[in-house]
Amino acid sequence: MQGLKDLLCRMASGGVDFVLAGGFGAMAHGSSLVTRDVDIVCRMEPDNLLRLHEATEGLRPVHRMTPERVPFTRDQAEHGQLKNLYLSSDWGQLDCLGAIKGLGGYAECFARSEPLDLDGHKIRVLSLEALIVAKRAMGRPRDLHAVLELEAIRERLQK
Amino acid sequence: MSGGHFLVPELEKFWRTDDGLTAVERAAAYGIDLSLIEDNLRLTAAERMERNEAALALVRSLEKPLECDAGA
Repeated sequence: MQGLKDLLCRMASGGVDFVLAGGFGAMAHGSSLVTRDVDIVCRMEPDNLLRLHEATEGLRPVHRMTPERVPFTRDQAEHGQLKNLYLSSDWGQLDCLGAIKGLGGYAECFARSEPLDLDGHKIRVLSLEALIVAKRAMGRPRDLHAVLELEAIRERLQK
Repeated sequence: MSGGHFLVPELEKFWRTDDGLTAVERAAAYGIDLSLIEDNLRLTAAERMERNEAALALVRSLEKPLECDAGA
């Protein structure tokens, strides 16, 4: 069965502008925490959301925060004026965020990201430093574990 | 710092970085298994993601019988 990594590769192939963030981004840097969803910061403009819609075509993407699990449609991508998207698909959960606390929007996150090769697909992931800033800004109890791991990884890599 | 979220004081202190500990020492004191991180650092990012998928698949397989029981 295909999963979250394949979802990222599919978006990269589809030309979606995004930066990998959240727990999946932390895991890309070496965190041991298991995560069920992918958080990305993306340009929430219609052209980019249309590419996102096309990239998820056939994966039955639905808005998972709605009780009826309404399908994510092309019309919403084009005219929805969406700020965030919380999708569930056949390949996993995908959270598309317009901005990240402590960092800012797509442009700011892109500036604090680094390239990552995923099975030949070029994507961007928040830098270790930026992930620590974001996790500290979120400040939830569940972010503490991630912060401690990421700071330990940073120290370990500096040696 | 806890961003308005509450942790018991024993855990709250781990947000601090002025405790005289190194980051590795702080993580170990919190209870993080550093050998898992060392293992991860030997892998590529793609391999780490594949491990996550495998762990998720295991979690889902364990959840299924529980969901069936809850629905019975």
